[in-house]
Amino acid sequence: MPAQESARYVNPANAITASRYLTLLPFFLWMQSGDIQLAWLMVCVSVLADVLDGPAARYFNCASGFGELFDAITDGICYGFYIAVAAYFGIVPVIPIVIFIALGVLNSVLRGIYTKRAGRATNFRSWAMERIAAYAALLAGAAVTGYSATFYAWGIPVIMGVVVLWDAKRMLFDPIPPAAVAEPSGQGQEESTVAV
Amino acid sequence: MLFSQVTFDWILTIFLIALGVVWALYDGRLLLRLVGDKSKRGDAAHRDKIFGSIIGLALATISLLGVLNFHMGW
Repeated sequence: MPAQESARYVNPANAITASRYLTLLPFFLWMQSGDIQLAWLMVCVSVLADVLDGPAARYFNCASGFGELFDAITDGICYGFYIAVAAYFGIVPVIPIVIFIALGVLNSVLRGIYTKRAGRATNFRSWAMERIAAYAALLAGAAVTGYSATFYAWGIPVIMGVVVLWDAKRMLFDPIPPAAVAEPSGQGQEESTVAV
Repeated sequence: MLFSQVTFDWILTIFLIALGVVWALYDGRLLLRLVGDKSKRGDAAHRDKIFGSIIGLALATISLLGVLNFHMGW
């Protein structure tokens, strides 16, 4: 692989994003042993890395479509894991979390359909879904500690349901805008299909 | 345990209040700016930004209500 090509994948921003996976095992072990505060600290480390990877990509001039996609997938896996583990240990109710995950899957399917409609790799930028991703981070922290966990958990399917309906209309029926460089969101500035 | 349970609850309370207020201010300011920008009225991307900031305000409100829920127990 040429050096320039490998730099697309191996760069400081992606290293910061990848480091978030290192929090998953200690998080699970601390949840299992009842060290909730240490498990919560792992969620905080992951959120901090999520906040820092975008500025790192810009600082080191290594923003890429792959980085943006990797960031979005990592968000889904990490926050989904924290919330699912909290539900597994009975700290947060299961039903709203199942609805939340189902809506996330539906959203990913809709993004796939949108890409087919567009006939090109394109970024479906949803400002509302970016807020939902931020709320998922908050929910992960609350779910782990049990701080109003039930209240926060029931908030997400309601709001996300509204957002998925709004985005579904845009993705399935609204005219597709012409190809353009997307505004920077998180890591990367190129166009890509990103499932939040 | 890093902190006593009471201390930890207050850390979370202060953190969530700060987060909710900053989030509400950010999206509130953005919403006012977007609604005031009449040159882009009718544009789909502009409409999506407005919707996103309204959702952001709703989520910021939920995060603040969660603090009340915890301390008042309803």
